[in-house]
Amino acid sequence: MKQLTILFAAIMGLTACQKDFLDLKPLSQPNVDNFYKTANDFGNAVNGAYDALQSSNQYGGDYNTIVEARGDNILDNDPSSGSGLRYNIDRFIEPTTNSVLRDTWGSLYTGINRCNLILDKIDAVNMDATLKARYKGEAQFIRALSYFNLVRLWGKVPLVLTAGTTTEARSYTRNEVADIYAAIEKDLTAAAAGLPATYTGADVGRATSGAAKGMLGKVYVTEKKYDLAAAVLKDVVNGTTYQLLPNVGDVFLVTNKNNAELLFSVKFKKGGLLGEGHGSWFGTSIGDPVEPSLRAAYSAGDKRLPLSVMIPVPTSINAVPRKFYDELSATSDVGNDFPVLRFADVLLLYAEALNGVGYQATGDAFTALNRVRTRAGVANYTAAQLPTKEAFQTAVIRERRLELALESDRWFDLIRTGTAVDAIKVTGITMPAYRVYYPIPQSEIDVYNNKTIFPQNDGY
Amino acid sequence: MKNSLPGFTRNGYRQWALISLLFLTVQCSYAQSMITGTVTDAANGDALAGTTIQVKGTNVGATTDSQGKYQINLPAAGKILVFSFIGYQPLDIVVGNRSVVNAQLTGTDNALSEVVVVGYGVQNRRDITTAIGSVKAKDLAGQPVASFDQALAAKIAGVQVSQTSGAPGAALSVRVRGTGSISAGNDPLYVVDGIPLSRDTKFATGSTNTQFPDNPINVLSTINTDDIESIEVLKDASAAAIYGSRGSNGVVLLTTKRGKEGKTVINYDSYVGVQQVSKKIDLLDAYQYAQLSNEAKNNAYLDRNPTGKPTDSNAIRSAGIGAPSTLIQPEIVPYLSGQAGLPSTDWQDAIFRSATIQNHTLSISGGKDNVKFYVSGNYMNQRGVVISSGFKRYSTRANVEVKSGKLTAGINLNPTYSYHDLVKAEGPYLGEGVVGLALQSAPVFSVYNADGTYNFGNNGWGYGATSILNPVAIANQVSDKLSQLRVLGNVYAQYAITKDLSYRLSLGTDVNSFQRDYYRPSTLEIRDRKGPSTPTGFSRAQNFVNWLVENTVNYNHSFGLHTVSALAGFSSQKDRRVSNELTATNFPNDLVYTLNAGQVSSGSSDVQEWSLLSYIGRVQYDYNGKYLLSAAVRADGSSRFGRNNRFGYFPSVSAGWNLSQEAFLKSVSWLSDLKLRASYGLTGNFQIPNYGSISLLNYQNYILGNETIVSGLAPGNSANDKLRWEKTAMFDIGFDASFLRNKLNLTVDYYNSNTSDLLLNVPVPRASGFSTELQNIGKVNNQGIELTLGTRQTFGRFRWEASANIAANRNKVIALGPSGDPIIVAGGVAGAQFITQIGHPIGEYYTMINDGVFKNQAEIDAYPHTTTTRPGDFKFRDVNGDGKIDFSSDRTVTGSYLPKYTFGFTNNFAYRGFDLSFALQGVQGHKILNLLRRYVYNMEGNGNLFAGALDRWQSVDNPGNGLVNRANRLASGSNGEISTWHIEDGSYVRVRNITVGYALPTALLQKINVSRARLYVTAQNPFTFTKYLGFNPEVNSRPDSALSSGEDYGTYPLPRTTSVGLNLSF
Repeated sequence: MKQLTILFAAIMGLTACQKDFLDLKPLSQPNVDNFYKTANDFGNAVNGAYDALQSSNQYGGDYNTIVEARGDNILDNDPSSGSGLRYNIDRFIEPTTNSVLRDTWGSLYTGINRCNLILDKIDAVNMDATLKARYKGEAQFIRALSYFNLVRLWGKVPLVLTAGTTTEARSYTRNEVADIYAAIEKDLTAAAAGLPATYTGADVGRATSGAAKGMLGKVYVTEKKYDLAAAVLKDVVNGTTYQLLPNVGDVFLVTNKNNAELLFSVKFKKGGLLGEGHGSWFGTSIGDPVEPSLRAAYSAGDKRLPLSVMIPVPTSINAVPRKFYDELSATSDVGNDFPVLRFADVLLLYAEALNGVGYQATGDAFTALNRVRTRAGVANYTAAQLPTKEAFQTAVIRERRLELALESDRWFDLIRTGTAVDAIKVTGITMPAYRVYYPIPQSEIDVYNNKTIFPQNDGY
Repeated sequence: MKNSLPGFTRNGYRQWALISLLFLTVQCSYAQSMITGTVTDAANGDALAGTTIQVKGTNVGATTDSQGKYQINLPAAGKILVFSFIGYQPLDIVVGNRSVVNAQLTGTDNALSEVVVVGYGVQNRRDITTAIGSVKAKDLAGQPVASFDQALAAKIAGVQVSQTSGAPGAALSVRVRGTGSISAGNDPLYVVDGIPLSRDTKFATGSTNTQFPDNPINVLSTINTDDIESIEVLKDASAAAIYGSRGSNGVVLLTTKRGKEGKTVINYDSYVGVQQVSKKIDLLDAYQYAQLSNEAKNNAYLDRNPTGKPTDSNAIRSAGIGAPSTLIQPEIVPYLSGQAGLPSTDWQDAIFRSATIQNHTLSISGGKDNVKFYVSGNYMNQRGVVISSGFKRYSTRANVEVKSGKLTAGINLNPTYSYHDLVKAEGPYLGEGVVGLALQSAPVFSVYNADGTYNFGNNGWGYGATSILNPVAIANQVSDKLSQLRVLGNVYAQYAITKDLSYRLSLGTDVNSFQRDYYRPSTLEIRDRKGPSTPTGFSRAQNFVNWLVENTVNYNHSFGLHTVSALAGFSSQKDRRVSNELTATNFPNDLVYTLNAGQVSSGSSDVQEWSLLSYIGRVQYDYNGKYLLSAAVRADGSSRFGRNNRFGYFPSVSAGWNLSQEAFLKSVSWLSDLKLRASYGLTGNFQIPNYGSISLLNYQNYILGNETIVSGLAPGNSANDKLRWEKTAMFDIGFDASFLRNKLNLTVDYYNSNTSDLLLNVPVPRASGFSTELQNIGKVNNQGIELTLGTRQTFGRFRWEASANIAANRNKVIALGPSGDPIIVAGGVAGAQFITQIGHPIGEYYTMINDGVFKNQAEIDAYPHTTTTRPGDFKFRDVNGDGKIDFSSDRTVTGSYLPKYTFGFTNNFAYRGFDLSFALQGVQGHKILNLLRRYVYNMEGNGNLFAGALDRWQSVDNPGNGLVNRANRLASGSNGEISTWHIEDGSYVRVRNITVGYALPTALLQKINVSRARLYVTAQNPFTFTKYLGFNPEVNSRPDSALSSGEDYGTYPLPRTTSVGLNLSF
């Protein structure tokens, strides 16, 4: 009995301290309560923000559908797979419940939230001022890029610039497009100031001040603020950091990542089980997805034409466009980087901006446009061929299609120039005019359930 | 018939002789007198032949004859006769100066007199005031199944056991009184000899594919069914409330066998059987397949190239739109020309086989000198009906109890080792599920090439065909082994402080060690890639240590007609899980499967814990066996709950009234017993994530520099400090009645249960950075009726026992999320949607309605259709009547996986040494979303199809049966959209088991020192009556997701087993 009493007492003691017994902290996952405290934490958080861009719902895959197949460069010919989820987007018949759109919307805001958390919390932490400015600039760049994609895909969207609780989020509304652009401009302007011009070693690939300026120029061109665009792009065009590679095909080689033409890429690595690769972009075994009209648009000898030709992937039944060719890893993924902004794009934007400010028969606009053409091995444009502002603008947009084919640019060009309906008609598909914006995901409409503060886009 | 049961008589002698020796030191001979009498069954007055009569304190005995009569010489010193008969309570009668002593024995298996295990104690069935279902050892024995829960099917009203997979040792789905939870689990709590088991082990060792998960293994299959004495299911919240925050889904109490005082008994139970797949599916043969595939190609070609001709060569087709999907595969050409005698592979035959099953248990039990013991050893080996799969179990058990004065102490120890040879059977071709692949594989391909290697022609076939891997190669070449080592047991000590008061301390532990090793060799191709693959492998270990300390004090006191018993206690339980995983690739060859041979490509390690601190109390009061009251409460504190909500309180009350004890009913002769019961209780469900209330950071890495992986971190979920358990309030009212001297028993229960604070991943605006947040919101109601009718009849030597039960449950969502919006989730494919909405059951199918096919252009013109619809394509219903077919707004509720009612029917007949029993299980009124039809009934001619494809639309003049669409490789008219075409009635009636046994005459056995020998033959799952086209109407690809239950995306078929068995006792 005495022993029993001792045992009893021991067990009582074991469980007496109930607070400690029940207050178990996660042992294998850090949590928000003990994070965002040191410079190292913010380094990890910034990497985590870049990671959002890698998502298969963004540059990792879905932009191929919602920004490229939607346009007139790619035809999705597979009504069977995923019950026609992607096919429907290509054919302008996607319902508001389309999960590709829902997931892309969600992924963009996931990235924005990661940036907001960094920007909310970093000012209170003591660290090296240059590093702090860089972290902030990177977060601002990623946030601006995400909003730029959101506003072009959906128009009015909630503009969230500080991390809120899920309860606060229920009162967000759809902000005006102009306000969203203002925030993007502000972020990119600040990023251009805070980011370094270049990186070395394992930091290569982070957003640079040049990338921020180039992106800002693209935003301005989209807004038709040509004078501002020309000014900011001029810095990049005249700088020495970025240049055209002599051979256009070299820009995309997986063996030539981080080359001098690339202002900003979303980076991938195949073969890991940590999910840093992606599936073959535009890879298919059921025929050629490239629209005949794209191929027809190239003149003979254009060095860019072979980049949109499908070539077989060894050991696979799939073929992919040469531009995004990579051999499969053991885990069947590939590791192409996604060229978000490159120097050829900047030149074309610069040409467009200058022409937007005022047509000049000779000058930098023609020079910029023709630099791209020369590199492609096709004849320069002359003022005789493009005698007006309108003709020049049309030529730039056409050149953008040829140069930036499959790089998730075409659809944005079509909608910002108001030419989408006509261009889509050429492919034999009818595009209802209201579908320049995608439907707000039905799940989002349902969450707010308030037609006043959160209406659906027109037409849907 | 004096010697009808000499074995028992002889045992009786020996037993009583032993007791005589123990308790009496002196034996003398005195003068004798002759006593005669008749022994009858107290319940029905039937004569009991073979009853043993013993003069207490002597070794003088006798046995009743076939009329129940006996005579015995009573020694002068003899005063008391002891009557004993198997299945009846022994009875002592003081002879006095009578010469005729008649005895009435009461059956121990009389429904109302049996002892029932309740939480933290036992009670007489007569005193139970809650809804508890009970199954005894004899009702579980002999079925050729790997785990006890399979044997539980159809036995208890309101307990639905679904064998979702037929794989040996695969987990089952057990639901008690419907589905209360939406996203926390719906599995009941299992308590083995007082140790509540953690549900976390269920998902140990994960899956090979995240999109199409494996059916988990059954961690309960470590428990040898032969070791189980009884299983009780606490169905209502009042009974389960003593398990507090874990009681919401019902509680299954397992009690293992103990030794009994007396002679040492050796039992040997064994069966050996052969299993075959219980169903094969009718598919097209190679000729029919070739015809269909050709038709599909032609239709796809002509749709796109209206000027083309069906006779156009591949060269011409290549230039047209839609190539290569419109090209004719050369492999089908010989079949098209009708050339006779070409091979047609039956891929089902290739992956299925006859497989053996065997099970052997040897046990020794007994008791002597204050020591009682039960020791057993078991070996089970079940090979799977799918090639290369199997399950083995080695289990031992020692239950020992020692008594010394006021102290009783004991140990229950059950170490087991089980071993699963896994073959991926779940999932479609994408998930490499061999069953789906076997259905889809084109019959024009052979399993093997001429040189004996596997034929991978169906992979990367080209011509726009879906790549289908050879299922035989997958099953045979992938090595996927899983072992589970478990030590489950407890030690306890009980001390009688006074006559009424006792204290008990129990220390329990459940230690589980899982190890899974997987290897996929180079000789197995990867889908869409030809030639040798890069081998991959993984090695996963998960170790669980769960310990439990329980202190309880029991008090029992009777005064006058009052009886009071009380229980108080506290317990603490903690669970720690350590997981490790390594993955490797680039093995140089297939000689060595362990990871050291390859290059390790990733590794991870993870530790998680939960703890639970509980206080329990219960008071029971009984007045003269007439009025029964019980009240209990449990307080549970859990580490899983948010810091602002650490403790939950779970009270319950119940009352019973034994009406038949009242004077006004005592005279009603046809009514033997009647008890009314009512109960109300609150229980919880703590199956929420271990750290669900905390905002955790996930590793979100990025690539920088020269292909350098840099570490990134980002929040994966939002925090919720208020997170807590789900709670269920259940009201139950019922009665237990016996009629006609206990020949007929009836139990009826009605219950109404409301589960609130449902744990939901509530959709939040994505602009918050998250898509959902885990919140306690929402409410589900379950109400139902359960009816059990049992009978026991004896007609001379013919005995019949039968039990029928029927249960109906209605499930209804009362509240959801902050805005009450329906929750719509997708199943195996985006269009396969499930809706959970207020006023409806959880997880209904939400799809288009298919109204057959458009037979001609006129029908198309007359009804809304898609832009690509042509004659022979599906007619979808314009549900909202807006004149358009829209695949989001024309969706509607198209059925539910929840059954309208379930029933079970068991029968036992016995005549002389013969016995016959059978059990039926029925589930009616549920629908199955048969997603395999996406492939095996899609008319694309991509892979093989159900034989029903022969009834397809072929032309306006030959429209088939009007239900099956036209063949088309590139489906038009959105034929692939998920609709009622994919939904089937899953109702079934299954004969679970038929057993015929024969017990050898004891006279014969006595000579070889055997007390009992029974031989039997069993057929398990011999017949199933269902209209369902798939393998198994119990299927459910995601049994743990209430929101999307009922999908069939490929499943391991159930075996049909024929076995012979032997029970021996020494």
